[in-house]
Amino acid sequence: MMNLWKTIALSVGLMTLSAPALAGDLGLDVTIVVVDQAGAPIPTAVIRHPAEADRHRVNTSNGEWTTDVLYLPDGSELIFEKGMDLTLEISAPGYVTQKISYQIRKRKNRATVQLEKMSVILEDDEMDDPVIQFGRDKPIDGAE
Amino acid sequence: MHKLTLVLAMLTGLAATSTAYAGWGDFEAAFPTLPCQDGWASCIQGGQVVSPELGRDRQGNPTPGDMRVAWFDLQATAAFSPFVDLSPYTGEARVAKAEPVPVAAPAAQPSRPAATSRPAADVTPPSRGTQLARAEEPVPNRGNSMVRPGSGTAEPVAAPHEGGMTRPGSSVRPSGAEAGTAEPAGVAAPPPVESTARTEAPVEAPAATGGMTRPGALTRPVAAEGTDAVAAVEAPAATPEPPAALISAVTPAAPVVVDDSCDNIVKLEPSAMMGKLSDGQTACLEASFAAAGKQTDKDRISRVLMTNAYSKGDQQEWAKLMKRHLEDVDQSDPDLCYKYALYLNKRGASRAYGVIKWSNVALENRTVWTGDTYTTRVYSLYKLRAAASQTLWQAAEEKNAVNPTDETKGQVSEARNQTKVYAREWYEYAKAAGKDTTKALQLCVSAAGTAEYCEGQ
Repeated sequence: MMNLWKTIALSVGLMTLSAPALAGDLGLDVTIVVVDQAGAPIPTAVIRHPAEADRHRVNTSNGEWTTDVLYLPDGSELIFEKGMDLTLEISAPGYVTQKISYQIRKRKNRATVQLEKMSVILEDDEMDDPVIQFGRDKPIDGAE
Repeated sequence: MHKLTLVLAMLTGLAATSTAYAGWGDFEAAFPTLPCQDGWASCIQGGQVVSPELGRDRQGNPTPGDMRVAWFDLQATAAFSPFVDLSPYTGEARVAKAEPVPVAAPAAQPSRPAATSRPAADVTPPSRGTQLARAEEPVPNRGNSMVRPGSGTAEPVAAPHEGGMTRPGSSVRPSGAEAGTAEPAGVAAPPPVESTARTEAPVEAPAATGGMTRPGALTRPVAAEGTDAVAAVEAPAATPEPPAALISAVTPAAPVVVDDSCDNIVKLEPSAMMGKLSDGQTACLEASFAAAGKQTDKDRISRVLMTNAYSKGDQQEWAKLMKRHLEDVDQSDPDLCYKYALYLNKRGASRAYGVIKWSNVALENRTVWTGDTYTTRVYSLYKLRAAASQTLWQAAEEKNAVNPTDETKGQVSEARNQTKVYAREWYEYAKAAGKDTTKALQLCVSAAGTAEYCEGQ
């Protein structure tokens, strides 16, 4: 009989201790997939909330990033809840940074973001080809 | 009614005016289409070449080419009126009198002189300058000169090349009869010397004072090849004709001066600008470069070599010379750094470090440029540098994505920070110079993560 009471007390205690963890699980998972214009995942992409200091790398194999909470610089948590408008900045080297806004639903929170390639090349009109000077003034006496 | 009269009067006046005006063709005599027969490049006026280059007045003072009246004595210069007394151009090949040809071949072998008796023909004059080369004046070979006798058979006659001038340190090579063959066209049946000798002689100056001649007419030798042009050769009356037996020994080949010397670098510049420096000249310049003690001498030589390689289209050689110049000689010329950075940029991502390095060096000396040149080139350099650093950042990210380590993470961080800084500098300059800032801002935001950094907030 004593053993039974001990078991019940232990179970209650464990449930009490795990309450915060259960509360954390209340956030809704949001998945962002970053792809290029051809639909291929961009392994070097990073995702960041504007209020956040850190950048989150996507999975290098499939370009996905999933979370249900964000930790802000002031120590607070941003738990994803249904109906919340989520703003994210997605960038990758060689691509134009994109800012998206996503409204969190009850389930199936999955968004695909397509990044546009950024081409930083020198145009023809921006280049002028200087002539190699001979490093002297032209002598007034002619070629000799 | 009055209005109608007025309109009619105006129309009549307009018609009269339009008929009174004439076209340019009516002033052909005063403004000929081409006052110089060879175009506008230069004329010869009173024996003096009039060209856009500096000229000389009567006292010998340098005078701008377009100055009609001398500054000091107010006398008319050669450019005073280029429209008087145009020398007629008949279209005929005018060949002046031929140089008297000294003949040294033995008279005993008149039939095939070139093939049998050809002493080495070294016609290099003994002193510098513009002395006429004489066949009878053998001169020891000096410096970088080369003597190329025609396949072991020499010609006893050496006609002067290019206006009868040769240069010390030069070598003479027979060309007219193709040195290897060593037999002129007229050897089998030797005609008189007037019609066989291939000579090069300066064309006589026009007699008309103040008249114009074709540019280069005084100095351009006319190589009379074959019998067409030979007919115009007029041997001077005073020229003693060689004995008939010796005439056949005359080898009428005109030598070609192969000048491999590089003592006078200024003289090599035109050839270098056309990429026409010979292998010998290039080798000579390389030797001079290695031997030069002063950096300024190295600089001049190196520039000639670079110009030659660039004009020739040999990009690999040019890049090698440019790298040597910038690393070993001088990197204070932003033109060269800019040019090299542009070249490296086209060579792909592997040269990104070089692009950044030489863009930075060029930017350090950017104050040499002014006006639009400054704006365009500085903008290009900022852009080049930012693009190159972005390439490095991308490469570091890809490497890190495949195998992330502390080292790769550090490289990513470093490359991203560099891109961030360079992109911001590019953006700020573009904004200040009134250029398009879109790409610069995009790159900066991409690297920095926030627009606030790029906007300087």
